[in-house]
Amino acid sequence: MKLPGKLLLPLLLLLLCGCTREISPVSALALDKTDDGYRLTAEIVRQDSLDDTASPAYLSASGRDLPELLQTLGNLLPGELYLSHAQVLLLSESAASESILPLADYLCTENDVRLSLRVAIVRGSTASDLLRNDDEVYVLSEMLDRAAQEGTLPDMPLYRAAEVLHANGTAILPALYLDEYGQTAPAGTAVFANERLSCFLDGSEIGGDAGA
Amino acid sequence: MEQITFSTDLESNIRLMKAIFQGDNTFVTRRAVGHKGLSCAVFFFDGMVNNIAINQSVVRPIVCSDRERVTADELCRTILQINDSRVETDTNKLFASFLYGDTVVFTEGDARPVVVNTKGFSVRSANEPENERVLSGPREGFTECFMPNLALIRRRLNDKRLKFTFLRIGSRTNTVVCLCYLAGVCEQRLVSHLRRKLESLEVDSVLDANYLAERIRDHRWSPFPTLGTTERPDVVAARLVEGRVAVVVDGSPVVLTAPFLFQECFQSNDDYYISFLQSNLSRILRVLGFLFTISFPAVYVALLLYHRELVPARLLFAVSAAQRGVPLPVGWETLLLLFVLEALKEAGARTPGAMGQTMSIVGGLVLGQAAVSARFAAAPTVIVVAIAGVTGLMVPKLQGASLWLRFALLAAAAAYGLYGVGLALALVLVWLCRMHSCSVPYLLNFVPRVQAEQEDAWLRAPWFFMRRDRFAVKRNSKKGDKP
Repeated sequence: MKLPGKLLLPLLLLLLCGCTREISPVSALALDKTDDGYRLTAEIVRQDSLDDTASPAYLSASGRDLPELLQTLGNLLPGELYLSHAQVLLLSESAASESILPLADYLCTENDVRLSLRVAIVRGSTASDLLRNDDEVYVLSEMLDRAAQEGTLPDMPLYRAAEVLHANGTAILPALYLDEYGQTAPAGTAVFANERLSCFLDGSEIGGDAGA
Repeated sequence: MEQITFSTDLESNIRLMKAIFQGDNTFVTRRAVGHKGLSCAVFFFDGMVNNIAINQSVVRPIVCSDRERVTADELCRTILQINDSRVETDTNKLFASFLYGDTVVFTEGDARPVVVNTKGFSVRSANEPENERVLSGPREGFTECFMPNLALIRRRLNDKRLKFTFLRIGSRTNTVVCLCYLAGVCEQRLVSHLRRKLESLEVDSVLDANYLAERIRDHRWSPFPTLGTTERPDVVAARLVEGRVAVVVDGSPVVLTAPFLFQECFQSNDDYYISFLQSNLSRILRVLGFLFTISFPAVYVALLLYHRELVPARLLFAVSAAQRGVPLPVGWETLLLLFVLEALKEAGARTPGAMGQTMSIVGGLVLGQAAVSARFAAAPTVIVVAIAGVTGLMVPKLQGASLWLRFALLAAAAAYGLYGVGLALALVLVWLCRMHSCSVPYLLNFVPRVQAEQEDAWLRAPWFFMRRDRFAVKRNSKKGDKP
């Protein structure tokens, strides 16, 4: 090995001392419209040891747009707000009544966010309430995946939603609601026209049996 | 050695020999006088000779001789009753043989000594080597004794083309080294090449094959072996049949073979003695094991430091939970655990038998568990390092290379993530492509320039598909393959 090779190895070893921040992984997000802007609720995964099971913890922040909301949320946490494993974004009806294309574009360009993030519309209640309804992580994403596979809800991940919204401003997204037993259930399909929530189709209309 | 001249006077020869070996209490002088007056002096080293052979084949024939005086030639031909005796006038050869257990006989009136082969030092039996055990197949292994080692090879290759060429290397040890090859099967240029290398060595001692291996091998600084080593005669015989050269060193049970190819690192003796289906699966596992042992800790560190999005969510949560409270970053943590693993291996290897096993258990289980409980290390990191350690044992010939590559890849991963690992692996591949062993490309069969047999390369074909002339590699001097 020549001299540069001998020098390179210790140099690389020195670089090993780079520290990383503890992460706070987010499994799902909920966006609600408020009087003076938006409210973002993040479902953060907590697991303290290998023996524990992952449990959700919720954190909310208010702001005018999504970048500001994410920054505020990040500032609240000791670790890094880690969005790469977020799998669901819930939008309340009021939040979806405005153009969602800027939101979709922002999420598509955000490095941490996966393009396979599932976006769903919450009917009848706030997105935050529906997000806080379950005490296990990834329940919503598993339900949306299963429903997409069975064909009872549209299979519309973030990248596909952004693509169709860009094409003609029309899209369909899955809808969820809290049923009379307080359980999260599919609520048919939310129809978007001109990038805004236009109407809902009942489950019966798309071949499923879920209904609002 | 200074020039020594013997005289025709027996007494002066005895005085001279005693003067040369003054202070050596194992040096024995025996005067033997026949009943008709034949007077001889017998010299040997106690413990190096076969006493029965000396008594019955040297001393008794002299004592019982009815001659008054004989020449050295006559002593050889008509008196001594032994199969191997000669008149030796070259004092260097004389003392080399004498120091190696032969007996020297002087007779009155002749200055020329007679060398009688009476070697008889104790040797251990040809047991199976500890580090090359097989499930089925031959159980013999080389010992430290030179001639029996050659006999073990010849017993397997009853071919008149089998050649043993002796050299002496080491100004102090004067060690006998044997170049062993099958004439006509092995390229003569390869033999000449190795012979030249060995003859050009200027060393004072050769106490083991590795003394030579590090000097004559190509790419001396590479952790990848470019000379084969084995303690099994069946392996040497197989390599000779394939046209390789073996170097047998007196006093060492390890035999060197050349050329040595990268693919041989993944071959095992068992491969040829069990079903090809089973042996091929084992070979694939060994290749995967090697890749795993060098890259697993590095990939683990790279994923946790730079590419967490590639880790499945629940696994990431578990690993993150385990990492919580550990004082060191994952790169340093893995590095230190790898050091601990190597320290345990070293301690286990240097500790005698049963204590070594205890050491391994204490080190592996108790220490690992305690480290996790005390939050010195995270459990997933311990698992990763343990898996890297276990898979590293699958390819014993590449343990040195695995060790260095593991650390190098870990450093690259900690610095540049998976890009660093990929770059480092690419550099290793380029390095391997540049290597050769005795002018044969190290990655033979990967390199289009020289093609050899494929039947026993990365996988082993069934015996009924094997050609007779395996490893029929022909170096092409026009394309730069120089011996």
